[in-house]
Amino acid sequence: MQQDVAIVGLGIHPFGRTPNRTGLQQCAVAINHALTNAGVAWRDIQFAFGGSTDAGNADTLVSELGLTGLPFMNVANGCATGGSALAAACNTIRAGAADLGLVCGFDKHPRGAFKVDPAEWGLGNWYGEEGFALTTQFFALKIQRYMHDHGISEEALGRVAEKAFRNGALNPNAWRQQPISLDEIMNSTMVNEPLRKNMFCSPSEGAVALIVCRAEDAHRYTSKPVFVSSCVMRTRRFGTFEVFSPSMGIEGQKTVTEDAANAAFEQAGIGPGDIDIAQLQDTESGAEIMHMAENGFCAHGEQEKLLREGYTEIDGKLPVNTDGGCIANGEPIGASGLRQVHELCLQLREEAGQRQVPRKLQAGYAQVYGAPGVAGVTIVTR
Amino acid sequence: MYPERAVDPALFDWPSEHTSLKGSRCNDCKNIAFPAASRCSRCSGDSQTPYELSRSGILWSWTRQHFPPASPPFPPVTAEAPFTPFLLGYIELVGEVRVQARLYYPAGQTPQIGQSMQLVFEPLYRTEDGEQIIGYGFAPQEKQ
Repeated sequence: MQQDVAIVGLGIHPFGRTPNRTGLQQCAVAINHALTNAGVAWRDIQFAFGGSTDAGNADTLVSELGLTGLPFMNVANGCATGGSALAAACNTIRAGAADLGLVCGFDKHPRGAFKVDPAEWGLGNWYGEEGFALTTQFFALKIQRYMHDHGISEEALGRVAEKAFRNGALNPNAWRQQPISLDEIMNSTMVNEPLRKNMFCSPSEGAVALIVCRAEDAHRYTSKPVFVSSCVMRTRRFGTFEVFSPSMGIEGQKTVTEDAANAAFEQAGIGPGDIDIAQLQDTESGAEIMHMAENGFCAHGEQEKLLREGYTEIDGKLPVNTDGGCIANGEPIGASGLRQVHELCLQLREEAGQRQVPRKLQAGYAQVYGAPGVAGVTIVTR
Repeated sequence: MYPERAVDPALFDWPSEHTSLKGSRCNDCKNIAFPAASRCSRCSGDSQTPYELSRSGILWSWTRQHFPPASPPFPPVTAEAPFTPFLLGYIELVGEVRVQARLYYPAGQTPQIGQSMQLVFEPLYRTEDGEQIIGYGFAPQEKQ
């Protein structure tokens, strides 16, 4: 198993709404936590990768943290920003270019659904005039077809959301910390059939920072290093159904998530059966259900039974989205992927408090998905 | 009579007696694209021929938009042009491509995946100058 890069410092700024802090300021808070956690100073950091979608340029953080002259690369990869930043940092260390680096992601979005300019996604303005420039529709259309093909019920959608809020209630950094009953979820406002308000995540705010180093140096910074066994980002291939598609090919093809998952397992040298805990993109509850299968953790259609049996609960066989996922944390695009990795590290280090999975964890899995059909997978091990 | 025009002339001709959606076909791998492409997303071939898409297909998936999308790019929601939830989905044009489209159903009908659909053109919105913008969509095929 590949274990040449270690995560040795963890920092997070609570997700949700923080009116008195900009996105950049929230990220500075997360970075300071991560530095303290690794027992290093800002001047020790040799390089950084980071980014946000709506909250400014990551490299501006140097004026907040200290003008040490380090190379700070901005990453703008939508939902895959955190994963791409982590992958770039791992490659920097593997290439021998540096020993100790920072990875960060943050965001602060206005209220309401993401505002989409079709031109930024290579689409004509007509796409928006027809009323298609909304990510929520894609998830609804995909799960609608999936439910038809694989016999998933609307109640299964509700169960995923119910779990998210229940887990969020155990997470002091989550945005939504109140459990919501299945009944209330199933009766919340319809947004895009079959998806209701309480099944969706909302754009929010937050920041995450990680300190990474060469695996052989990890013991200098922490007694509980977590190793990056793979970190993969992929874009879509022809013939799959992805966000913002005026059309799609009919011939079947592996989804971008399946591609990223396969590459990540290959890189790590382990399979889905070796994973003890997973954080899967849950833009809405249908996405978590489909991603369970696309990442190789079950067969298509098996989710209905697994959810009923509590398979993905914190005390289940494969806990999924133990920190409440996007549904309970909201989605600050730049921070979302690193939040997943942060949660895996906490769980592997047995520092997850009330939501700690009650057994020994060896390998964790994180997957993000977003427009325009990109996926990122990170596998971490102890 | 106010003038009418297509939401984008690259998608279909309007006004027109008999119009269909404009796609393209790759001269190398025969893949069909919509809207018409200059380069094939399947094989990267750069030689494409205009292709008139089929006017009928089957419903692949659907949903309903319950809240007004952000404007722009969505036409402004006003007292004169209030927002009403609308249906959309993907239509599989058999042997060609699946296209995203507005769906037009008689009130009270719920879309059924797999049902036969036909191409329609419907008013989308009116510009400040009074121009009527026409969009494309699909409606359930009328029984013969």
